[in-house]
Amino acid sequence: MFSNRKWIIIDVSNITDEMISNAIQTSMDTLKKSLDDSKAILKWDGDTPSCFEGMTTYSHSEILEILSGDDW
Amino acid sequence: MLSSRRIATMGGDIFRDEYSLAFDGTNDYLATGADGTAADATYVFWAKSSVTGANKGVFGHGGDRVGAFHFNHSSGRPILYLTDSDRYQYWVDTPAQDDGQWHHWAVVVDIDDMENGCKLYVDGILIAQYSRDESGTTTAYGNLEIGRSTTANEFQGNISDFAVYNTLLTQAQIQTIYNGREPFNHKESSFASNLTNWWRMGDGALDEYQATTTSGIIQDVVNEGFGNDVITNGGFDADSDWAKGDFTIGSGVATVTTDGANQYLKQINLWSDNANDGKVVKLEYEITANTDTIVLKINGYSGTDISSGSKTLASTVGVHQAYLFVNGTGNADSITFYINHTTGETISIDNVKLSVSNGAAGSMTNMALADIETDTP
Repeated sequence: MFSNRKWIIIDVSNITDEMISNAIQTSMDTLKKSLDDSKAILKWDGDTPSCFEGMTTYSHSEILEILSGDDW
Repeated sequence: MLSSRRIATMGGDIFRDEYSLAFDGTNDYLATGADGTAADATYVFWAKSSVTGANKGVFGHGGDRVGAFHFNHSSGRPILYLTDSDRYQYWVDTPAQDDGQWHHWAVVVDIDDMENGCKLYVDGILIAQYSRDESGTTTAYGNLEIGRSTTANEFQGNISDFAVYNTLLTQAQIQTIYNGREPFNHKESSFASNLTNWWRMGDGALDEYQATTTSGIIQDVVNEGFGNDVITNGGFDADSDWAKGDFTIGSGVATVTTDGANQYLKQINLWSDNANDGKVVKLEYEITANTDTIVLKINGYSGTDISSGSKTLASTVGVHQAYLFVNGTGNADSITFYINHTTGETISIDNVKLSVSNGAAGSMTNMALADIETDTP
């Protein structure tokens, strides 16, 4: 399940309109953010949009492991 | 396991359950404007999950301990929370929480008497209560959210056919709904008058996802559909009815040439007194020109989804549609197209329509079309 989906973790201050447009997230207001509000996750299905190229991506199991940590 | 289910109904039609919503456990949920007052109720739904650890947020009302139901909350036991630490009910562990199979759940919530009134049924069978504390007072509910209780407690698994009844259903009634694992039409039962909401999770005739605007709607089939278009002069046939900012209206469109600063096109007084908080609105519009990659946004209520120009819209030339969840305290009875782009580019908008959902439609939040799966009990 969700094998076609990828996640990134990004500083909130670096999120652009293009990223939101290319991500599954509904809007800036519905992002999942770290407890200190400094970071957020974005996700997409399929090929990696150009605006996310070069960024570290996580699989479903990897992002769940990270989100279970104290920072989230 | 069948990929879809169908059953003949009284009228001879085939009643189907062919879809469910898949929640990835990272941040997706169904936002609704329903059930915002703590009261006796029964929540019935199908769920499937393989998560053996804590899997919180099957549903909630604005907090992980506010009218919230969690799988495997502690020592493998499911729990219903009505307030922080002194009003909750545990049930004994049941493998149905995490065996990867579809199960029918009924959570009966008696606000005033948890010991005698709060019950949990799985596949129509009563689950034994475990510990409780009902010394506290129930926390006031927010609107019902399905698939999460807070941003830190999101459900991982599939949910189908989630219904809310405004009464404490009996075991016999719940077994009627379970229906031997066959699809059940909640509208045709003898207790249908107590049915307040029902989200079919992809099987509703008007359930829809718009990939270009990453927005989807799951209709409340108790009262589905939309009201009339509330936009006046959405075709820009006259230079009137709009607060234009830097836009101009002419030749049947609204146009702006960007100047690097915030620019907007607003129609005011669409709503009053936040009467449509908790509603999903359907926005239709056409981009007739976009000389660069101008990103159009929407701004409106100061709440989730469309505040502060944060919702980006499909901005390529063509006809587009978006579903927007209106949920906020509200400081503007308006809806605003909003752009901020480098100088010298032009975008034109036409054929703007906006209609409000009749019932408590659900907004697929942070979800994709692929999350409507052909996976049913």
